[in-house]
Formats: sequence, structure tokens, C-alpha cells
Amino acid sequence: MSATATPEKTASNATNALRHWLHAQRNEMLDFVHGLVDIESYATQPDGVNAVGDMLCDALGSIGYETERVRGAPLAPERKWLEEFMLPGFDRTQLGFQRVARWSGDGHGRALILGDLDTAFVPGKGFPFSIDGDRALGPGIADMKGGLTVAVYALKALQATSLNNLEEITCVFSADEQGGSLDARKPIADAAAHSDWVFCMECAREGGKLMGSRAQIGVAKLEVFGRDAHAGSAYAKGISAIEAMARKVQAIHALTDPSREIYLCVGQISGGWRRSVIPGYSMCTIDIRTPGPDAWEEVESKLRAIAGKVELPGSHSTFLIDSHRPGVQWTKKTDKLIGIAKEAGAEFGLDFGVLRSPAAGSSAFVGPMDLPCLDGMGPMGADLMTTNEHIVISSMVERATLLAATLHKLGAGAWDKA
Amino acid sequence: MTDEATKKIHAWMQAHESELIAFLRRLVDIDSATELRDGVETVARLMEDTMRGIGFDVTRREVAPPPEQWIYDAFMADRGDAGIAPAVECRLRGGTGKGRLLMMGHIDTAFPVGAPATNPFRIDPATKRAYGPAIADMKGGDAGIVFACRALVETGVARPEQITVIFDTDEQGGSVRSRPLIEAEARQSDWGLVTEAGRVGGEAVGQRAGIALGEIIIDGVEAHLGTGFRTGQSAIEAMCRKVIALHKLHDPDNGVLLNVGEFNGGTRRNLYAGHCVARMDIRCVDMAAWERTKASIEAIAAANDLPGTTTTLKLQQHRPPMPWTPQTRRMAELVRETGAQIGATIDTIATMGGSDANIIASQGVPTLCGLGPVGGAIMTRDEYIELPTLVERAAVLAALAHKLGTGGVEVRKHG
Repeated sequence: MSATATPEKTASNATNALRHWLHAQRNEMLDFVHGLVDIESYATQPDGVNAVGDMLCDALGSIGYETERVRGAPLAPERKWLEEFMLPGFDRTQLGFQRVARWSGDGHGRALILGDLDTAFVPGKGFPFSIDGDRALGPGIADMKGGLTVAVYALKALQATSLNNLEEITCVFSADEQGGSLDARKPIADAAAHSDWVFCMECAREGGKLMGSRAQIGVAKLEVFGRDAHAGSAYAKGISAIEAMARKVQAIHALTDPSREIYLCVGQISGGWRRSVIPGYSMCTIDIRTPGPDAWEEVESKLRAIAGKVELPGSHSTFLIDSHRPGVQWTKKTDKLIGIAKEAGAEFGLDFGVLRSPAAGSSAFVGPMDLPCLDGMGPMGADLMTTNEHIVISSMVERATLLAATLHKLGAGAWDKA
Repeated sequence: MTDEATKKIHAWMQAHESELIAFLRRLVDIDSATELRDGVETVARLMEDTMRGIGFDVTRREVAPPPEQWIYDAFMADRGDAGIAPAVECRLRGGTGKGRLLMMGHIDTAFPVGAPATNPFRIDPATKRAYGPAIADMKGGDAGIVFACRALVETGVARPEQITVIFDTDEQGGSVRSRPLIEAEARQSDWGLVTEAGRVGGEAVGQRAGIALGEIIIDGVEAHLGTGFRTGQSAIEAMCRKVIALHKLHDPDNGVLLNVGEFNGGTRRNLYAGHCVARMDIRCVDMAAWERTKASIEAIAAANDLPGTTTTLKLQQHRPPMPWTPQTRRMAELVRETGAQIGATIDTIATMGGSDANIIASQGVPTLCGLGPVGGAIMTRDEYIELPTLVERAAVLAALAHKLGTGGVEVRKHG
């Protein structure tokens, strides 16, 4: 089945029709997101990830989308360390499938919609779905099963109202976003290569803000080697890797500069194995966020200098760094896409802010292609990765209307007119 | 004091050398890692039977875990012990000399379970060394106590009115269970002799540092680096600041060693860490240094160097310092003199390591340690003793007991 464009309707009428249809789906949307949340789907739970993927692909398949299961490309040898780093102890070949769902029509323009099947909740750390007034709580509901629901229903609305006026809509659902998207990167980049506009279904931020840019982020692993020696009988022979690491950590954290949107965090640290032994080994992981490539290069070179510095004679270190998410820059095209989305929102009384995000997700891979991208198209959500993670239920209909109406405007030629 | 007794004892010991070596071989080849209760129990029974055979009354003493769970965890949590074998307490009265002597050895080892099976007792005639897990720390010294007791009884020389021997079973677990037992026995003793290995240079030990363990737990505010940078407070950052401050207290010239030996924090790379733990080892030459260091550690823990984080400090000195005293200097002289009588040079020195001697000395009892055979490479596959010193040190130990019981160092005034 394939919807056809209905140019006789005015934009405003179209928005009203979409909104009306979606409003009637409120309870169904809530059931759908409940179903998604009930499936535990950390990246290392392929069965859960695949079950979430099945739910989405079944829903989209039933409205004419062609769906496929795909896998990413192997990593280059110098990037192999990222596999163990991102999902320790997990064999990446066992990941759930990346999913691509594509609708092809005879309308105008190609949109790409990005979502994630996996959540940040490691196995067993979840909590049951619940409803508290206008809030729905659940593990991964904001990041980003609420967003997946909004996307599915926005696309359903376009079909149900026969308002899908695009040439192509492609959805790529990632199976390993929480694992650094090492596998998802290729399918996302492949789809972006033949897309005009990109929407990513992260939840809307505080106050319902969308995200117009995403940071360039990366990870690093620093290991410091000293020399083991008994703390009582041989202390003079020991070289404390913990001491050297502590000094490096201070220097690393000092690179954080909020005024320049540069953030660094040593997220994990360990060292030593016995209280009474001067520790010969310490390691830490570092998360790095910069607004773009220039700042990234500056921070990377400073980090290399910190890693290479010898605080204690006889100690040495190894340092690995990788910018696994290139980020999304805020360009004039971004402004243009925001303008079209705002126009769509205005038609049903929705206004929203757009912020620069110091984080990054699946949209990060479209930045280098200079594609206009709006992220945060999901429902309003907050308290991510906590037992209070929630979305605002009423915002699901609102945001689905925004996505559907914006897509319809693009299909109607708004991009070329703007 | 008579040189005749020393000669008699030395002759007896030389005549029993092969028996002593055979006994040591048995001890070394039984796996008695602290957490291997059955293995420690096997050694304990061997000691029990042997000491009884010499004429001692033997009592097995249950030792309870310390009330502070963190202390127990600090020593045993990662070793999965199934309980600790009861200590072996042996007592022999009726000596014709004066005073009450306490001798101690531990029969547990710090080796991983299974070590003796892959690295059994062996002798290298070329180096005149015997090798095996825990042969120096301290099965050589355990065998020395047994044979010194036998020599005292079988030669019939004057000995202290009472000799008590304790073989404890958790020394490698910090003696945190045995400590009350040792303290109680020490309070009723006039002298303490512990047979940890003689130092690599052949010395006995007259002074030991006090050893404390500390744990610092920092709770930060966990938040996502990207979205929570305004609220997040990294427990890792706070800990690193404290580690740097703590290591500044390390001051060997003034008798303070401080080592943060372990730290661990954070759960995910992209979160400001909500939790970080560090464990440290603190060695202080005397109580004054300990009180000073303790106050500094407490101040560092209390410093609010990263607002929003909270710090918990746990600190306990589980082995108090063993200081030099006029009595221990006199005992060291007796050791030197006795060594000279049998052809060995034995100095007595200070170390920054700890043993059960610390606990005995903490009760005001003049105590010497390092009276076992000379050994080294402790806790490696090459752990060894100098085989000739096995007989030598056992003879010195027995002769020292004889000399203490016959006025070499006065008995204590017991309150």
C-alpha cells in the first residue's frame, strides 16, 4: 500500500488532519511505548534488541515500509580496542540487528529518521513501567523508546491520512548506540548518503527544546605503568601508578571549559591490587566532548601531552583516543530546517527552543555530510538513566504531530521555497 | 647463664638436623593458605600432636572475626574463606627457671591455594638453600619453635617456669581474629619471641613499624557528562585530589610510609562518577608518628575539596608499633652472644614490616622477632631459607629461652 500526496489540501489543513488522527491514537501510543519499555534491551541483550526492532518493523511493515536487518562493517585494526572499551566482555558479532525501514513514493525529497533500539540500562538494572499523572516512567522511555513511538506514529499518521508526499523516508534503528554505535555507524552513513534531511528521535530536552547541533565526542583509555613493590620492605623500589594517575586526572579535568563547550570526564578509574603493595598499574577511561573538529584536535593534543608526561621517574603510559562520534554542526541549513519545523509547530500552537547539545548520539554521523539535522524530535523527557526516567505523555501526540507535519511541509516543497 | 646449656642445646639440635628438615618438609608440602581451612587445620593438628608429644598441654582456640566488617573485608573479602581454623595454644609448666615466655608462629600462608602442589619443598645442595611456598614466612620458624621446645625438654636445661606457644591461623589475614587471643596471652607473659624469618642479611628484628589500614569512600553526584555537567560532581576527581594530598604524608626519613595501594571508581565512561573507593597502608615507626599521621589523614578526608561530594574515612591500626626498649636491647645482646657461641653473627635491626610481634609488644612485653631461619624471596616461587640457619636459629631460640628463664632479662612486674 502506498499513500499519495494530496496537494489540494492546504498545509494548515494537513497539519490539522495529522494532529486529529494522532490525537485519537494517544492511548494506543501509550500501549506501544509500554510494550517497548517492557522489553529489556541493553546493547548486550540481542534478543531484547531484536524484539524491539521487530515491533518497529512490524508496525512500519504494515504500512508499506520495506524492512531489513543489517550489520555494520568490521573496525579497522587500530580501532579494534574500542570494541572491548565500549561493551566490555561482549562479542560484537553477537549484537542485535541494525534495522532499516524504507518507504518509497513518488513525492518530493528524502528524509532520514534515526532511532535507537538499545537503552542505557544494563541487564537487571531496570524498573517497571508506570504512569504518574501526565508522566510515563520506565527504563529507556526517554532514551529513547518514547521517541521510537513518536516516529512510528508520525509515519503511520502520514499514511493513514494519505499525506505522505515524500519521495523516500528511511528509518535506521541502531542496535548499539549505547555501545558507541560502532556497528550502527555504517548503516546510518549509508542512508544519510542519499537523504536530504535528518531527524533523530532523542527526547526533547528541558522545556521541550530540540537540538540543532551535537558535540563531537570521543573516548580515550589511559594506562599508567609504575613498579610493584611491597609498601613496607621495598617502598623505595616502588613507583606508584596511582599517584601518577591522580596527577594526570587533575590535569585532564582541568581541560574542561564550559565557556567553550569543552567537557572532559574521567568516568572510570582503577589501580593497584593490594593495599600493601605500591601499585604498578592504573588505568582510566575518559569521555571527551567538544563543539567541533578544531576544539577536538586541540583537546586531543593536550591530552596526548598529559598522557606522555612522566610525573614519577620510571613510570610510563599508553594512551588510546578515538572520536567515535563526529557530531553535528549548526549550519544555515539547520536554521532553515528549524524554520520549517517551527512553521509546522505554529500551525497547532507549538513553539519550541533549539539548543546546542554537549552530547551526541546516532545523528553524529550525518554531521560530516553537511546534512540539515534536527535532533530531540522525541517526546519531552527527563531524568535519563535514573529510576525516575520519564516522558511527558501528552507530548507524544504533540511531537508526533510536529514530525509528521514537518515531513509533510518538506514533501510539499517548503525547503526549496524557504 | 651457662655456656654449657647453649652447647648442649646446639649439640642436640645438630644431632636432630635431619629430623628437623623432614618436619619442615612436611609443613611446607601441606597447603595452608589462610582461606583454605582444611589445609590450615591439617597443619594445626600436626602441631597439636607434636607439641603434646613433647609434653605440652594443647588447647584449640576459636578465633572470631573482628566486629568491624570493613576490617574483615579488607583482609579476607576477596579470598572467599570458609572460616578460619582455630588457633593452637600450647602450654608447658614446671620449668626450673623463672618467668613466663610466649613464643609465636603462624601456620597460615599468603600463597594462592594450590602453591605447594606445583612448587613442593626442595633442597639445592649447591646453594645450601631449601625452597618452597611459605618456607621462610614462616614454616621454617614454626619448625624452629617445635624443635627448640623439644631441645629444652630433652636436654633438661633450665627453662622458664612456663612456656606458651601460640600457632595462629590468620596472620596473613592481618591477625584481626587472633589479636584478642594474642593480647590476652601477652598480658600474662614476661617475654615474647616470634620466629618470622631472619632478614636476608641474617638479622633478627627488634623494632617494627605500626601498621594501619585505611579506606576512603567518596560519594559524588552521578550525572551524564553531556547533559548533566552542571550537576555532576566526580568522586574520581575528589579522590585524586585526596590521593595526592595523602601521598605527601609519605615521609620515610621521619618514619612514616603511606601507600594508596588500590583505588576504584566510576561505572561508566560518560558519567561523572558517583562513587570511588581507595585503600591505603600506613606504617609509622612509633605511636607519636601514628597520632600525627592519623590526624593529617583525618583532615585530608574531611577537607571539602569538591563541594557536593561526601567522604567517609575508615582507619584502624591493626598492628601497633613495636618499639625498641631497654629490655629488647638486652634481649638482642643475648641473641648476639648466643649466636657467637655457636658460630653465627646475628645483629638485631628495625624494619617497617609487621608481624604478630607487634601485638605482643603492644601489651608492654619485651619482644624480639626474626628468630626463624634466614630467608627471602618471600611470596615468590623462589621463596627460600638458608638451610644451615635452620639448626642455628632453632638452637639460638632454645638457648635464648634458657637464658631468659635464668635471669638474662628480668621478669615483668605484673599489675
